[in-house]
Amino acid sequence: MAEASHADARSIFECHDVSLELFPHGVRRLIIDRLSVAVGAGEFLTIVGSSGTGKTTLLRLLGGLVPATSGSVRFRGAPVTGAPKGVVVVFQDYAGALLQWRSVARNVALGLEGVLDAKQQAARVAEALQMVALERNADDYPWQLSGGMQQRVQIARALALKPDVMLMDEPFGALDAMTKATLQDELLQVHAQTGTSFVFITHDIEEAVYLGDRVVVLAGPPGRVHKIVPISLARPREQIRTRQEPEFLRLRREIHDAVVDAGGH
Amino acid sequence: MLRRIMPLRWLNLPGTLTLVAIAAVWEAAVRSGAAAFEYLPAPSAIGVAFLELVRSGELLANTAHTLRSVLIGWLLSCAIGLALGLLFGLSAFARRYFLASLEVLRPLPAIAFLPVALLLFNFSLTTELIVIVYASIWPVFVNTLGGIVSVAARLHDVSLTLQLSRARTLTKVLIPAAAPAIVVGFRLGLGTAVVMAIIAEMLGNPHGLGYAVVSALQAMRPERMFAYVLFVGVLAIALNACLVVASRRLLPGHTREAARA
Repeated sequence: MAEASHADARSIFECHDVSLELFPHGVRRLIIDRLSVAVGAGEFLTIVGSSGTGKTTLLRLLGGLVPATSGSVRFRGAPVTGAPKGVVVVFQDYAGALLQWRSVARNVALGLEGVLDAKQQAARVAEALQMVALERNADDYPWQLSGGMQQRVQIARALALKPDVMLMDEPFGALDAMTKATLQDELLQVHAQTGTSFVFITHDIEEAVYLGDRVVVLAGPPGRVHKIVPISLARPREQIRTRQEPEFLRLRREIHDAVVDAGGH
Repeated sequence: MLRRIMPLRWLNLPGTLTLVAIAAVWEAAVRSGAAAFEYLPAPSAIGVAFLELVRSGELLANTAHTLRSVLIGWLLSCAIGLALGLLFGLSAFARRYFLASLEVLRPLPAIAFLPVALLLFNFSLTTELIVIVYASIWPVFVNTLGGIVSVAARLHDVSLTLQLSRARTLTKVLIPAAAPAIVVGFRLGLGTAVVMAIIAEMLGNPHGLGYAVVSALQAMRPERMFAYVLFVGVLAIALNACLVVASRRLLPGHTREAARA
């Protein structure tokens, strides 16, 4: 339906007519079908869609973890071949994404080792841990922490790189509602403080509205853009107040209908 | 940590009592003549022979030789097995083209190489080491390879997105992730190295504990033979215990698995 505005001068990421085919068991399968979308500098873009609409695959394309079969993915104007510098992915399965044998601080330092000297590393790690309120857990091992805290470690590890873009794949999907709300607000704070762009995948429509500047609704399979909904809710947002605004409820309805319309559920 | 190393915790009382009981029955059987083997010594005779061997310095000299061969052979196997395991674990090309050739070599019993080694290197330490190393490489190689290829795909994603170079990915992510498996390979390799050293000394290099067992047999000194055989068993257990403790220290972050086990 709606066309993506992929030629925006201020966009940091541009996907143009991107398709991805895989050949599981020798059978050709189209995962993403001529998808176009752009991410603005400093934008918080959320992506929703039912399962099989290629949300995770789109994120892997942006993160340079998988090459497109056709079309172009560009970061700051340059074609993405391999993981671009300045872009970092946060995965849903925090336990699998953290190095279980490293302490929290050493996990956060992983991307800095050999890049910064020890003193700068320590400062950067401390700063990142403070952003996610984990400064007191620097010496713990991931397996000693709750799920929410482990996901914070992964977010801190990404933040420590001072990325231009954070790509987050359902990062709060496995967490309880209370923890989720806290982490959402922490993330919005980071967004306000750092100006980092976010591409945030979720299957939670309310979360998509609450966090996003725009919500992309994907249809599929194969994955394609169904609708892009701008979110005009004022920032800073607040869990209770924002979620009670009539505009929030209207947007939730609109996106819900779009997801259903796109052939979900 | 300290408590885990304390001997008291290691002393398995019921197990020890069973051992003592077996020794007592054995002693009684031999003395009463119930076990009428001409060359079956009583545990007490074995104990006396053992003390004699200690006092004369013979045991120490033989142990020193065998330990030296085991350690040299084992270290070589660890180095070669680790290098091969990493190469095959990291390179799909190596796996596709060369793994089959290695798999053909693997079932060949190392002891079959002894005559070849004897022919080339005579009765020597080299012969002994060849047999030890050939046999002990495999457990290290197989466990390293398995450990590396089974590192979760997610950790490869993490290495990419954090911009780690290939070298850093290897040293900071893949090897540590595979470390528990690699250490198991080292331990199995050490066990193999002890066995192969004893066999090689019996057949290929007339020194050390293996040769001592054979000499005691040929000299019709069964109590000495038993003393040596039992001592080899204790030595193997002690070596393994050293490695278990060392690996716990070397892999502090992996203690979760150790705690679960």
